[in-house]
Amino acid sequence: MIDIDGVPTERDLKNSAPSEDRIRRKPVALHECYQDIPCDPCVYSCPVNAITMKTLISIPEINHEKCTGCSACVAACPGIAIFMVEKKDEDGFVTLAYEFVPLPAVGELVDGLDRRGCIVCEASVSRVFSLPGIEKKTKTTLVRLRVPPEKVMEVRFFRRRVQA
Amino acid sequence: MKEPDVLVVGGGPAGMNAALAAAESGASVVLVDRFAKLGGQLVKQTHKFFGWADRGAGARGIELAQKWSHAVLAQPQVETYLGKEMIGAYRDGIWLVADQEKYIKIKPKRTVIATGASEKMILFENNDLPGVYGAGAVQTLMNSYGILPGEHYLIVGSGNVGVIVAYQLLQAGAVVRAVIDVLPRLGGAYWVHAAKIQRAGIPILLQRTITGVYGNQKVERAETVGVDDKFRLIPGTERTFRVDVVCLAVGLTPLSDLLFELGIQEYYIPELGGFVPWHDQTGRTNRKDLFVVGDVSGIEEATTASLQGRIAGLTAASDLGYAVDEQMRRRLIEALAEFRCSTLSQNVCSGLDRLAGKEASQ
Amino acid sequence: MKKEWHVYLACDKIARLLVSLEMNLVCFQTLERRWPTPLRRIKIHPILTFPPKPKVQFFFEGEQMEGAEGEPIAAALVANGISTFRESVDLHRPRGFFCAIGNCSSCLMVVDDVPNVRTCIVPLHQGMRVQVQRDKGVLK
Ligand SMILES: Cc1cc2nc3c(=O)[nH]c(=O)nc-3n(C[C@H](O)[C@H](O)[C@H](O)COP(=O)(O)OP(=O)(O)OC[C@H]3O[C@@H](n4cnc5c(N)ncnc54)[C@H](O)[C@@H]3O)c2cc1C
Ligand code: SF4
Ligand code: SF4
Ligand code: FES
Repeated sequence: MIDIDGVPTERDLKNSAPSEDRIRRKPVALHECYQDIPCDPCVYSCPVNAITMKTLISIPEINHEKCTGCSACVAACPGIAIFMVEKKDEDGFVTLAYEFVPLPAVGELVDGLDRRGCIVCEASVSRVFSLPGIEKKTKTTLVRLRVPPEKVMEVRFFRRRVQA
Repeated sequence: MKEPDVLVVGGGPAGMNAALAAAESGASVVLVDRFAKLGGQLVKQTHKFFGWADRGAGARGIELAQKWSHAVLAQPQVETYLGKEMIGAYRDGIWLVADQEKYIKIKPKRTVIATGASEKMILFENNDLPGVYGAGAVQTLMNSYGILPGEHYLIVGSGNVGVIVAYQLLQAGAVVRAVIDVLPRLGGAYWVHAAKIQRAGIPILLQRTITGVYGNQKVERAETVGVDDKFRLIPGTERTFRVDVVCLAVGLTPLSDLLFELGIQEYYIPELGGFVPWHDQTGRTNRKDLFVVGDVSGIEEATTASLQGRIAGLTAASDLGYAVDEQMRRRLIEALAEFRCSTLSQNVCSGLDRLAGKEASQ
Repeated sequence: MKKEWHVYLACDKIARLLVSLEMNLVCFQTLERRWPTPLRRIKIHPILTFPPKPKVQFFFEGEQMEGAEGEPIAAALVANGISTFRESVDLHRPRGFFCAIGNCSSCLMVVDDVPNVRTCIVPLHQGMRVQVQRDKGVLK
């Protein structure tokens, strides 16, 4: 429960999730930030002004139609609370900010973890990248995972497997 | 003897900003910190901070520390004493700084105290055993010196400090077994911070307390037990954690010994962390030449500390007749109020209200 | 997929069931084995860099140890796996690191024959002799 231990529930997620149709079209950002923290970098990071907030302490709103899927906000969010999801044919993709080393290699098989850190599927790393402007400021690396399409709303982290 | 316009004690976000604001208005400033580096708590915060994007939010604590300390060191009006501890003050306004084998005397016209906070302790069996650390100490070791004091960690307290230290330990490559808290819900950690560690597999176990640590000369295991809504221990819910470090993150309390010595009016306000000095919205205490800013005036966070510092710095300079941008000062006071109006700051606000009510009845 | 992976997933399914029953600890422990064992001195870090400092030799209770020039004495001891810095005065219980900022006196030691040195804030230098402090120390 989100107000008990910080993990969002289905009900919370419904408020910020993009439509299935939108996810199928093109990558789209979604936030899992449901508390009125005094924070607004996501608003200023978006080049197309898709993220809005009434005041500093409001909960952000992402206009999924406007969002171009550039992932700038994923790298900018200090709470690591913004993710990008995408469904393409038989594959699902989740892009997240990853602040650990060593970084995974492209193509590496990893465990896809849900919001409680439990393994929900096998995932493969499809891209490891950073956005030049933002990276210099925040040292944040983005990782794009390929996951089964039905898991895009579940996988929120991953863990590398120990090499034999 | 040194006779600056303004003396600032403590070089955290509050102290650095007070020094900068006063110096930029033309006052001469002496800044004293007992640590070898400016930045206070910020030098060990590797996570990105919240706040306004145009005031440095999204930057990491260490980067903010660097930005401000460069500004302070480049400011010719500020004389910085690092690695020197303020050990006391005489009532006639002379302050004493310990510098290895000698003492430096300072007689300022205005003083800003920004000494931050110290960590609270809790009771359990063998809580003096090596391996029981304050969360801040583990942070200092790992982020300032690059040393991990153990392999397996248990964190007591699910406020922002506990949760963030858990995340930082993970980044440094350690194993965190769990974060525990006696409360039935998160002890003040922001949900997004809590979500960050849970998705990485660190459970937050609520309604659970530590009863003791055991081991031969050092911590080898920690015993915990579940508690009910009235904080009574529930037999049968004991759980042992094999850890070699227990990190206490059970709250901070203002480091106000210096103020106590000076007879500054203090009140017990639990919402602000314990005994806090009375002060008005510019940070001025019941002694007209003394200001308190940052965590020492009530436990909050870095953005509010830096705003408070700026306001007090400007006020001190204007007291002494330096031309100060009044509009800027008002804007800062408004910004501080805006930051505090989130429901998350409710506690702080009600604490400050109670503090403000106090003197009226004095 | 490998057989091992299936076993692993099965274990995790059970763990997740337990999670839904609010027993998330089990789940965590199945995962945790995958973390590499950490080293005392952090070698790689996603955000910080620790530039190598010159090495110095010092003595703890007569035993030669290695540390980095200028780091606090107590930090060097921790890096060498030492946990007891002093003994409490009456009951002689072991005491170690606690606050790391010179506030608590838990780390007082005898350094080059001087007692009551706060080792968590005093920098380490070549050839220092560091000893566990077992009493209050005397003024010479
Ligand atoms: C784990 C953790 C995470 C945090 N995360 C955030 C966050 O995400 N966002 C946020 O906004 N805030 C955060 N904070 C809080 C923030 O760091 C503090 O509120 C802020 O640093 C307080 O600033 P300050 O200047 O009052 O005190 P400090 O930063 O504590 O500085 C006090 C300084 O005074 C010096 N000093 C003390 N006594 C003396 C003396 N007698 N003589 C000389 N010098 C002395 C100390 O050495 C220190 O440098 C976090 C704190 C912790 C512990
Ligand atoms: S992904 Fe890009 S376009 Fe979409 S909301 Fe984020 S910053 Fe804006
Ligand atoms: S930047 Fe992240 S944490 Fe801050 S308001 Fe936006 S989504 Fe929330
Ligand atoms: S560990 Fe607290 S004074 Fe050194």
